[in-house]
Amino acid sequence: MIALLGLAVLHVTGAVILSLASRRPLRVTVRQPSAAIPAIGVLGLASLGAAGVSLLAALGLSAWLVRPAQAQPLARFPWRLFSVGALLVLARPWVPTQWDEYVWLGKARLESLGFGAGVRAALDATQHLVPPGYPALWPSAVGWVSLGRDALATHTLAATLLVLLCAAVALEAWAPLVTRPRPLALAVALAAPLAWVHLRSTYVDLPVGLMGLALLGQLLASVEGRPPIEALFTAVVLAGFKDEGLAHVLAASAAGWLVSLRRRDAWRLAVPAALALLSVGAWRLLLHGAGVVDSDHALGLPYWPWLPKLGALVWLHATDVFSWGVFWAVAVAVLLRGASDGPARAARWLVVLDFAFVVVELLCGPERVRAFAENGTLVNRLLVQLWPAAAALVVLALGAPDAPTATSPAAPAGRATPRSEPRLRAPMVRRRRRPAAAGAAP
Amino acid sequence: MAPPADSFAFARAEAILLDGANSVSGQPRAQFPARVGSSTLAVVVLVLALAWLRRRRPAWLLPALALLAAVPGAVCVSALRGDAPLRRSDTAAALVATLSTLQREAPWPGTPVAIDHEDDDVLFPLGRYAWPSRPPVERPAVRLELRGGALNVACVRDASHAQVVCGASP
Repeated sequence: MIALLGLAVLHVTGAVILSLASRRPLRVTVRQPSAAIPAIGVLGLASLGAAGVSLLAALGLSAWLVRPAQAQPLARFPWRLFSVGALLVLARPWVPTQWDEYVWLGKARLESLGFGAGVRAALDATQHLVPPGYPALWPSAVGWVSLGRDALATHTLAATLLVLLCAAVALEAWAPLVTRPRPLALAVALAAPLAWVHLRSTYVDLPVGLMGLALLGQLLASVEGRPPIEALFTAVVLAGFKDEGLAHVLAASAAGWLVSLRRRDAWRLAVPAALALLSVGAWRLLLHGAGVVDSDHALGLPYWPWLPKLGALVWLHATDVFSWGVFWAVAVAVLLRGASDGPARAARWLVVLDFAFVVVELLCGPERVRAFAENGTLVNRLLVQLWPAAAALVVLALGAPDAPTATSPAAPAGRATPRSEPRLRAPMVRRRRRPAAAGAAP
Repeated sequence: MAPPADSFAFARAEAILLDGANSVSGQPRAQFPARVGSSTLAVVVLVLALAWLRRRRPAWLLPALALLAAVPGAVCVSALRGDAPLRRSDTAAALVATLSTLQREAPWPGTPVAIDHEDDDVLFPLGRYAWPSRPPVERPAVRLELRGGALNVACVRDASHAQVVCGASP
């Protein structure tokens, strides 16, 4: 139970940071379910030592660049939906059951030796950490939530709470964009059994996907081109959780930018991505200086002869009815012919760009990565990283106004969207067939 | 399409530990034996979904298809897998017992340990949790070998007490 206390400490600390940076009163930020993320981001940078100090200065500068003219109101958080999910996720023995859970949580044990011990061990080739060179933030954060206690159950609960925290960040970011999702659309999005396996595990693939989706939601909520301060922390934390995190940051930033191309002040949307690039660059420099080689994610020239195999593997994994039902068939249909306005268009770009990164990772990665893909231990986990974005797209598309009825002249006056459809409210996102005033900030 | 429980590979704790995160039922590792049925279903649903998205009538059709198709996987996740709610306690107990056995031999970080050999199998991740960092050993250390692909193993010391083999004998 000490993990709950650890999360509470991080939550309050993060709420103070958010309050200082976003001009919201502490009594407001402390009610944000995602408040622990800024604390994890700051601790993550601080754990890098001298390099972290420079990065914290860059974070401060970025916060100044995007600081809002006035405090932005918060949307309602879907507590009922989140609570049901949290109950299902937490109701299990707090013992990991899968391979990488033990590898990740093992590194969390290092934090019981002192703050930053995980980073120091990762930067010391003689410690033989596996896989070498991987970012240390996820296991370190597990150690911090555990308050340094070295016990398997504590680590498992701490990591589970972090998975839930990432889900909360995504829900909080998208709550202003989809305020009343159709239950049937939600059911289709959740009809993906492998996603449930990962929700009840402490693998970092699903959290990375959730944080990528969260970052896009935060960027879409930008006002006057200024992303909310939370986006900075989300980007830094996402890039620190896993090497693929940077790809998700770039994909979300590009998707957010593509739906706001005509705005002159859209350049600020790139600030979170720039900060993430800086932090990853610093990590890579530290690795280089320490002589540690991250061979898993070293990209080279594409290995084109493998392209047909890649297509076949993605098809076979995505159509595996046991793991995915027909989720990906529905998602592809929505991608080809779904709603194309506002947040749905942004989510569509995110799915496309995320998929492009999967292709690049497998085609340009080392031979070892393709071997993992062929022996069945990698592709589904990359699809798990894509699932949050695709699920959001499905919810938005299946909850969007029916094509024949919403634009029908016979539709009742003053009722552009039926009650059961999601209300779209995105300051950065232009919508078609709507008066300009409707897009104003709430 | 749900596989019978007695032949279900992921009913075993070892299979869950090795591959449980990579798929729901082990299809990728087995080179997708149900590929024809799965692919056909996906193509049919893709075509139906494209048609359904034009008119969205009847409203229940696509959700019903999606939920029905998720039933085989849901059966595996909720009942057949070793980490299903009613079976997870047994799997967890086996894992904790095995981990405790390993940790007893050389508690980290106090006891210096040298891992002379570890199979790329079920004891590997447990060994990584038991000894997350492996600094160079300068003084007499426990020399360990982690072998075999089963949980609930014993650790055996050789006659000189210098070497400990956990799992199957070499």
